[in-house]
Amino acid sequence: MKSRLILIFIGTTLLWSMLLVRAAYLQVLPNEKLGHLRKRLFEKKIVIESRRGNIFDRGGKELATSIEAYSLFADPSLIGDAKEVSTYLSKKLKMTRKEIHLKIGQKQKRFVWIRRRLDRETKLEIERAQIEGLGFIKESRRIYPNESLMSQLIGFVGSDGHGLEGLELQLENTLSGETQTIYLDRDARGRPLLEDGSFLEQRKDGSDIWLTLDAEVQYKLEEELIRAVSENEADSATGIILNPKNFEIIAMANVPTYDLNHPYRVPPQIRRNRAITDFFEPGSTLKTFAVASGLENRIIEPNSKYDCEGGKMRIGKKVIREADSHHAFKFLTVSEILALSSNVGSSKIAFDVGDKRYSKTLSAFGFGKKTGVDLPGETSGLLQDLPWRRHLLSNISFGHGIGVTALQMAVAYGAIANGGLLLKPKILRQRDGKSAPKETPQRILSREVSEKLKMMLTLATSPTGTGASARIKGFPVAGKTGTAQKVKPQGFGYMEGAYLSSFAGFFPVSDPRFLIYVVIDNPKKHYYGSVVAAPVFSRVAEYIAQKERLIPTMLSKTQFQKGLIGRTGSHGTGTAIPKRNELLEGYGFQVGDKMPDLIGLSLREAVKRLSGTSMAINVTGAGIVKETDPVAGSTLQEGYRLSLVLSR
Amino acid sequence: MAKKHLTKFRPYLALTILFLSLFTIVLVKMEVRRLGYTVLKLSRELEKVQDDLRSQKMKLAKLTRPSLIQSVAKSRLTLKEGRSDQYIHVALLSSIENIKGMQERRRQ
Repeated sequence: MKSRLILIFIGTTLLWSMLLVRAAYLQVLPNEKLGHLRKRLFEKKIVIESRRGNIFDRGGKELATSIEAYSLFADPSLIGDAKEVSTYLSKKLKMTRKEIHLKIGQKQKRFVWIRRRLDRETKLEIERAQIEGLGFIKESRRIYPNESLMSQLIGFVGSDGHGLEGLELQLENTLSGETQTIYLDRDARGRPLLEDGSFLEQRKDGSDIWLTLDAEVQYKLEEELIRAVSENEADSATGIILNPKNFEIIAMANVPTYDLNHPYRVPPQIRRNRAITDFFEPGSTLKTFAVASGLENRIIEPNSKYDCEGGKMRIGKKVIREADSHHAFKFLTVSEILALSSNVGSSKIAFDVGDKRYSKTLSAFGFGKKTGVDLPGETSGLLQDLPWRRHLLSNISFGHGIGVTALQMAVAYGAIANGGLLLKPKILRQRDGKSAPKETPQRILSREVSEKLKMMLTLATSPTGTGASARIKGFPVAGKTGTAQKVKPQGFGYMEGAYLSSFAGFFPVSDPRFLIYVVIDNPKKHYYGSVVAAPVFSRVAEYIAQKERLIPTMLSKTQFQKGLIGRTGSHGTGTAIPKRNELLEGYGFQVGDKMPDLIGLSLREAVKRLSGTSMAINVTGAGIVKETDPVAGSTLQEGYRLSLVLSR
Repeated sequence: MAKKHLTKFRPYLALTILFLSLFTIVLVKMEVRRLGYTVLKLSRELEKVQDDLRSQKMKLAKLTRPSLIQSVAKSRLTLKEGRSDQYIHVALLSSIENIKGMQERRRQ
């Protein structure tokens, strides 16, 4: 009896021990399978989608933003009458009935997308119909409210919301945030149980970025480029506007453009940012740098004279000619070579400078290497290795035999405008809430040489220069035209009758605030840079002057002599000061003119009478002119302020 | 006597305090749960409002795009772009200084 009791006791103890051990095994030791089961039964997975950062222009105008969108899906096995549902949805979604029926007719499938990224109004309409088997998933949709503005620059995102081109691609890491998945306990209805709302602050959205570009100036540039392409029957055009003080890019345009909200309606070549991806032979706009090299190395001065041999020069078996066969120049100064764009003259300057020094100068200006701008797809262009034969050296001097991008040209001219200091071009003003770091400028030209170049480039836009059509009223402009033959696509030889017309310039010369580089590809009606590109510069510059409320420059003898003109040179004879009165008169400065009689005129009429003078006018009161200072008939003196007193 | 009563009721008091505490704990937990639902509801509303705000900002950006403003200004308001000769630049000198300056020059 006793032994039976002991046996029963042992048996019961063993059974209970096994239960205890099993319980301990289940509760104490980690068990993945049970963990998953627990998660499935008691936890809810919450995905916190990050919002993509916005892109703004310098004034805070939205260029790219993300809004909520709803993607419609279907469970075909739950849909009753597929034909009826297809008919209803085709009207709402503007899709064909066949297309929808093809998707929802597959009964064996449990999930099909019908249409991605619908707006909220459409979603609510479809929800009201209460069709079984249809559902929505919230996503976000990228919107570009300005449509085609800055299209190649901004780029676009793909269907997964990641950048594919332009800044959307380049700044993918900054713009896209971090999608997070958290697990919370849930109740019987599946609602998450919150003990605190701190998880809501865990959203890691993408950062917004502010660009240096101005949307309004960009629009004006694009408008003028479109006009130039249309009027001259050109293939395309590119334009860049830069602030030479800090190298911030104010506008960068390529036409034709495309609507960023529908990027695949145009071929890929239209979507390319040709300002940085394509290089070309720039033509005469490159002559400035041959002169710069000569001045910096003290080999030439602005008044140094060269024999341009009647417009034809032989180098071995080849002949260098002027762009215009009527240009049979004889002796020209360096200033005149630039102003009149003589190929023979620039070749001779390049021979004096030599290939080594010239190549060093071009490299210092940034040619043959990337500018480092924060945009994808930039090319470094083409600068041939030394040594350069005489013919190649001659070609490079007038902008052939070298490949440059539009941005490289803008940056190089920017260095001249900035007193010889080169900086990296900037497109981002603010990123991750931080401003762009300050950069130490690199001196590539002495201040003296850059001032001499500014003066010579100002001559190039005088009435006798090739860039006369780039002038704007009230502001002296410095610039250079370019007309280059286009290289054949195969790379050897030039295309017949195909040109690149360009103009690079900046204003106001005394204190450059804006640099504009324009290049028109293959204009057919006219092709000279002075006819095709320079007027674009003029119209855009005029717009900027008004928009920025720039006060017209007063041209006085002091201003000309102080900063704009260099000293006497060592090469040749004479002073370095060019024909001053010619320049002054070229800008409408009426030296020695008499004050007109303005008594009894309205302000508008009086100002109209005085237009053509760059003198500042002080106005007091309103109504008609009662008094003037100086009085009518007095001689207008340089640097004088005109005063008008008006009353009713 | 009073002490004897207290001693008699001590167990009941203890039990009452215990039950009250448990009840309070339950109430507080229910309140936490309820507030959690409120926070969830408000967070969804906040998200909806933020989405609305973004949508409105986008609409405003579309309406203020330069191409539309120019088109409306030209077609509906019959405005034209100003020419350079229509702008008058007025120098920044006060009126009094201007007149004084003129009188000074006349005397000379």
